[in-house]
Amino acid sequence: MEAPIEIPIVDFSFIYQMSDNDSVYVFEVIELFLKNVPAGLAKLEDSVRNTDNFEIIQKQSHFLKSSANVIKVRGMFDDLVRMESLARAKTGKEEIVELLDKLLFLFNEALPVLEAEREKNKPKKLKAKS
Amino acid sequence: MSEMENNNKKIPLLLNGINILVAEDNILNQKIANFILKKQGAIVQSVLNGKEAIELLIGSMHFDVVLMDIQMPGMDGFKATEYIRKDLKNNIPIIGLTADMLMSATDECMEAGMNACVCKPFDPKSLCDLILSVIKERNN
Repeated sequence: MEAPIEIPIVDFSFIYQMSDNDSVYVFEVIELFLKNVPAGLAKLEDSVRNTDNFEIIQKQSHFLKSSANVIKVRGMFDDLVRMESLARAKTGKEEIVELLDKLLFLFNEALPVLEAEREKNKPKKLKAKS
Repeated sequence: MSEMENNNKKIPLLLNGINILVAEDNILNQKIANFILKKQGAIVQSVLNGKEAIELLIGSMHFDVVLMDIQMPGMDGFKATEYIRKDLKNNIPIIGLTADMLMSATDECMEAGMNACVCKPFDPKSLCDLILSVIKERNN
């Protein structure tokens, strides 16, 4: 029996293809992703856990969805699409909380992979500084 | 053809000298748009919402086309487009940027007065072709 194909936790193919394997550019995009997504998730977590403001949840999940479509952390995009849809319909708070927990788990799992890829592409002059 | 001649034969840039205004609140998407457009020779100015886009259009800078995200904080892409068309009476080509692959998103873009709509993340070639197509359409 053939072994099942394992889907990588993070798919970087879009940024590599789009930039023609420009490592400096890939580094900059991952750096931006790592600066913006954790902050965005923290904002989403605050809105979900501490408010019933569906409008903010919808806007924040939409915002993160855009980033999750550039560097594809396994499952994140689909979960954000679902969360945005629920929040737009102002329903399913319980499912929204479950989706949030899953998103946070997925991102934490992907974080070392993201950081390793960033390091791999780090320009030499920056490597020398650190 | 000699090797030197071969090396000097440059591939023409698709958007050489075209002035593009990008209104996009997501910095990551803004960076991607800028990379694609500048790589093809475009001159790009980026802003974070519709209000800032309008301010630049009112100002002295010249733009050939606007890439306008639909959902932005402050003034979104629909409201900004309506303002540009109705209040500024400006028929500059506007391409809506959306993260939703729904037909309704395209319909809403057209209703607001946009010329076309493109789904993120962008395919570089398709985005450049679309920009050239809306500019050509306007000039005809």
